[in-house]
Amino acid sequence: MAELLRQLNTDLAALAETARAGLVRVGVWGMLGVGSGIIVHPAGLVLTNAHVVRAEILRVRLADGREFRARVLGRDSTADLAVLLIDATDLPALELAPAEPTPGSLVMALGHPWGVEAAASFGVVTGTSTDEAGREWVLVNLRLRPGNSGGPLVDAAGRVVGINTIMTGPETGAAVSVRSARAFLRRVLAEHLRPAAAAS
Amino acid sequence: MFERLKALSEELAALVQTAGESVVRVSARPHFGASGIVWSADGVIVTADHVIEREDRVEVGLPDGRTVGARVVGRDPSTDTAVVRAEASGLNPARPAKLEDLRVGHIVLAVARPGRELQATLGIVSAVGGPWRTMAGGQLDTYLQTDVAMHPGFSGGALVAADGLVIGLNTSGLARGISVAVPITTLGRVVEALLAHGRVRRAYLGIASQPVRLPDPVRERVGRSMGLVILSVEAGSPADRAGLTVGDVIIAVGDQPVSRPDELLAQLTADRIGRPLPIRVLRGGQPVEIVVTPGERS
Repeated sequence: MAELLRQLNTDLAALAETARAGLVRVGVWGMLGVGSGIIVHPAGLVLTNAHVVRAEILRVRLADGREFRARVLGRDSTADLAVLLIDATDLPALELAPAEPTPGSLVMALGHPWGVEAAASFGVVTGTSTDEAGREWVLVNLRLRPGNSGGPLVDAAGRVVGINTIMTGPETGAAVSVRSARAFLRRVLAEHLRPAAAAS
Repeated sequence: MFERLKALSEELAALVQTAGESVVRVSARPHFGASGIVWSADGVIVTADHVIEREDRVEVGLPDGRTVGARVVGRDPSTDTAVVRAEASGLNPARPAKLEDLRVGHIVLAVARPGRELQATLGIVSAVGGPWRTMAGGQLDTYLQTDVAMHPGFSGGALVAADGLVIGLNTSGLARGISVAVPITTLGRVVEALLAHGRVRRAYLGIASQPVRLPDPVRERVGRSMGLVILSVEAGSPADRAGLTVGDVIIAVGDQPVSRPDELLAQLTADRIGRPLPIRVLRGGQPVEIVVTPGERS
């Protein structure tokens, strides 16, 4: 009986380790930032919240301690999403989940709550909802705090199901749904790839 | 990687979907929805009493997305339980769990339908114990406390065990700040009473009382330190007809000692109605037995 719990603990720790590798810290250049971000492509693409991005040039610190200047590639304040580009390759990117999570699924949020480095919070998906602005949210029962914003919400397989965005209560929060994030990324990348394609 | 965690997560999500087939939305108050549990295929829905703020225009949102009308069959504020009948058939009744198997630490899910979509939170059984009397004087067969988070609209939803069986009805109306559920055994009893009578019948004496410390010599003689002093007697009530008077100190009802109002309430069950009930009181320091025939609380 306790054996199963021990195994689950091992899994949880491994899950946290995987997710942490894809977690970055985002701040304004010259200042220690407490925002979070997610590596979504090995070639330097970082997804975060638009409200974390307060300048055009930012500083991104990877889990291994390396720091990079980051350029804002795209930003959508309504969706509260932004994508940054850093000059690095072979990064440990997190995979985006193919679909929205179902209620009851286990999830882990990684981030830097109150500046605490790479902290994990574990909980369950309460449900999903779409607000008046048409934004899709994943509602979670776990602790989100300032500094969690922009960080990954991962499922039990380590795939990103949301971008941690707001706390809605002491034990509850909402993450921008992976579906919205995928649509946003596609939009931004299409804009940036079009001129390159025309030039070739 | 994380195979066990993945398997657990999948099982939880599947459990929510299955249990959700028996969880409906109950709209009987402005602004907020609430949840309900399907009790029978022909439309009997059990929900929390406190979420029913209007009895006309009650609507039930079914798992298949349809919204149907419903009427309130009966309410029991004492256990925060109500029964409504939805104009629907072919529903999926919840499958009841056996509470004897339940232990502190067991994983439980709160499954609710505050709006169209199913919602759920996860927790463990925090406490499970003997009978418990609610603030409103209702009797719960089993005290069942969990740490599941209750979001708006979760009241009336199902508390589901790891095997998918329903162990109780979640409500935020029984205790402030903690999640106390109405156990499935109590639901069975209350729903039966509400379907038969539209309310839970309770016996009635017609007195108001409060706990009082017994004088030392009396304490030694009766072996108890507290009793219930009668503060008022309603004119024409069963207590009045039997001759109970203000100042009498109740120490036992039937063969059960009582020293708190909830202990007295616990004795006033439906089966006491209309049957002579010996009540032991101290009058002028002397124990006296008075036989009262309780009426029915209206």
